[in-house]
Amino acid sequence: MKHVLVWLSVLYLLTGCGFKDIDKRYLVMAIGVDKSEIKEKPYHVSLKLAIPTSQIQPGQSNTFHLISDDASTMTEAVRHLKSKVDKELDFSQTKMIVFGKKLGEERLDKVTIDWFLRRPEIQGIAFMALGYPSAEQVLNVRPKSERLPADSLIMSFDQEGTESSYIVTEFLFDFHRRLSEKGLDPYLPIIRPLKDTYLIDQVAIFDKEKIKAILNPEETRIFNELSKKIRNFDIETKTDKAQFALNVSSFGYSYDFDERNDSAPKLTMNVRIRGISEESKQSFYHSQWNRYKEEAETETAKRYLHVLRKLQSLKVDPIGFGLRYRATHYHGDKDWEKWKDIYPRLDWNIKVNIDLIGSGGVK
Amino acid sequence: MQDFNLKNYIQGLAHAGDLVTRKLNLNEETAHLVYLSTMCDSAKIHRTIVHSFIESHNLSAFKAVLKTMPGYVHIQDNDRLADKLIQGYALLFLPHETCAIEVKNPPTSKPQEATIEYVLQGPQIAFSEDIATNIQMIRTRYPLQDLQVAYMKIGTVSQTQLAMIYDKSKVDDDVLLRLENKLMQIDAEVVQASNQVQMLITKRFNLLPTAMVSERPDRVVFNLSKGKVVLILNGTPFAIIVPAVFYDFMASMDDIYDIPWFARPLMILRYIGAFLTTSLPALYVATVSYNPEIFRAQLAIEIAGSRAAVPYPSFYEVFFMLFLIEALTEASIRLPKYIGSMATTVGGLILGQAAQMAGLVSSIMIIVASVVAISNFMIPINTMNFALRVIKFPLVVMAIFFGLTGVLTGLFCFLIYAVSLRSFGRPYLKLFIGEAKKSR
Repeated sequence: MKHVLVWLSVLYLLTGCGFKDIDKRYLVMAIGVDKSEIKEKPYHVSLKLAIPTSQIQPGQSNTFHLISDDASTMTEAVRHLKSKVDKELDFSQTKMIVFGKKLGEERLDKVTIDWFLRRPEIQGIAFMALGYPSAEQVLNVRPKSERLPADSLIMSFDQEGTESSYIVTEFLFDFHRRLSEKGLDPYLPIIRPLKDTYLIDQVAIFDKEKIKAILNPEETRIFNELSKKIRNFDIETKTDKAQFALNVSSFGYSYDFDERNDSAPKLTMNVRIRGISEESKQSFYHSQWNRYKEEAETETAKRYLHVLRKLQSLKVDPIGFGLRYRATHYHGDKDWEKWKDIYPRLDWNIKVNIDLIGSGGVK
Repeated sequence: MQDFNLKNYIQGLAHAGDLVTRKLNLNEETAHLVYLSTMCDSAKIHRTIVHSFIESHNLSAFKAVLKTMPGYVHIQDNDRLADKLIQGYALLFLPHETCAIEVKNPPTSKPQEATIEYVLQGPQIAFSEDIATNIQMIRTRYPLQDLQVAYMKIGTVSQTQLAMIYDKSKVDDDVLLRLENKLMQIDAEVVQASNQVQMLITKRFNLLPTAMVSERPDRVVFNLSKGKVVLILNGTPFAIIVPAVFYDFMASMDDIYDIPWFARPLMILRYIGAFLTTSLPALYVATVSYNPEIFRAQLAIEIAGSRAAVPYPSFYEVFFMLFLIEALTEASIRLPKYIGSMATTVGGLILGQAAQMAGLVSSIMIIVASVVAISNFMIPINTMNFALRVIKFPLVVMAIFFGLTGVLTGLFCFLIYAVSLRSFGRPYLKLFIGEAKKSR
């Protein structure tokens, strides 16, 4: 019993710095990193801090405090930012990391995101995005329906709220993986602030260092289908013969490399789509479904081909064909060299198979 | 026997106020009837002893009648006469010999309705305070010839009667031997409660009970059929069941009486309750002050907002609320039934909005405190209930110093302790897989 008392009294001296009540912490909801104007301090770091409320009300409880600072490193920026607030900065709820587009165009690689990876309380499942024109402007938006600061951004990305086919989700851990993986290149969605809301319908494709290209919304959607195999999208067919839209309920694809002809390597892709007609100019009941189906199939194949060719011409591979090639061949680095040679002259053979399961109307 | 002097036989009791002595004369011969009026049934004395005395023609005929009476004891040793008087015997000093006849007052205690371990649809009557009634109840519910009842006395002063009951064909001799040894070693002066016996036969400072105290005859009989040993102490309506493992304390008799769709989830609920009542206050301190990343962002902001009015660190509010809860529980046990509702009313006021409005605790803490209190009462056996009430405090202390790691370490230490416990040689955390089938 004496021992226990002695130990307890010793323990009492060891309270240390870990104990800090939640109301004495400033929860950082989002971090923005921009390129600053000052040369020796290249990082312009903004933090979106949540001001706590005891009652959550949409549009009213999303009060926040935006602080920013220029520094030569992330660490220094955060250290200096601490002197601007009265409470301890707490990154444990940080689920949104936004980089400025300028920074992305110049250099966004392992060194830039190193701080985020090393910081133990920042989670690997934090969402990453590019802010246009700047990250700070993205963080400064206060949407009308938001319940918590930065909540609408998080809701946009985590598929819990909106499920848009234009929104491509990227996590911190995945971005980090793509920065080092051979045959799998990084990408980031682009957030554009509007008045009181955001527009997220583009994606920036990176090589291992900086932005190579920005896909337009239509390409973004197809990229999202190919890279994430999302399901909630629709296919529009607009030709002279038919004009209708398909709501896709199931989507999947598989592909093979065809290297029998060494001079003309081919990639054969089989896309399977099941869907219901959603909007149509023609009556669907008695007319030839097969004809419409074929129209849609050729249209869709064309769209996939367009995006794949674009990525190919940019020499980036965010979908991961290179990774699959390496995984299915046996010579390690030699295969990687070979793939780098094959990829620019790869021929695409895309077959789309659409299963039209309903006309979408009630007779 | 002309010079009959009571003092020679019962020194201490000779001047007791309730001592009655009667001289019975018959054919020049004299018998002395001595008894304590408070312990004996005077109508019974008249009916049996006096009546047969009057009808007898001489003393030897009277002696023969006496010998046929139930509760007749022939006294060989005059030293223990006083004890016999206290136990409710009437002493008859005949020339040349002494005998005692049991004429005890019938027990005033009747079986009461079960109030502590209540079940909804099942036997409703609990044990009484009288040992004979209790054994009668057990014999009626368990009418097997294998049922053994052994009597003994414990307490050097109180000499409380204790019955050890077991099914001879099912009992584990090892357990029986250990229990007998323990009972022999008891040297307490006054033994009056089952919980006291339970402590005396197990280790006094055990955090978790290793013998079960129950007021339900059906639980006792069920345990007898499983080969356990039951101790019944005179003067308390509770039986002690040994050995008892952790699982037993979490089981209610309802588990056997209800359909599994209903009983199993309730059982799971009880275990969740046991976890919450021990660790929720500690988890609150740990998460609010060390690891707020556990919460979702929305909850974190809400907790931060509701804690903003509280000037003290989280563990002050935890201790404040736990103190209130414990005080309220204690007060409602102590208070007489008629003003018992006052405690709940006042407690409800404090535990409700008032404490939060005053800025003493956060609103989440009120929920934590109520969950702790409510889930504690889900545990069917009272002794385990108390044990779990105690355990939460060391866990809170661990949380204050080490956060979530501390809570986990504390729970782990607790688990190790529970695993190391033995109840009369039986591992304490044993599971009984498949055994339930027989009791359906």
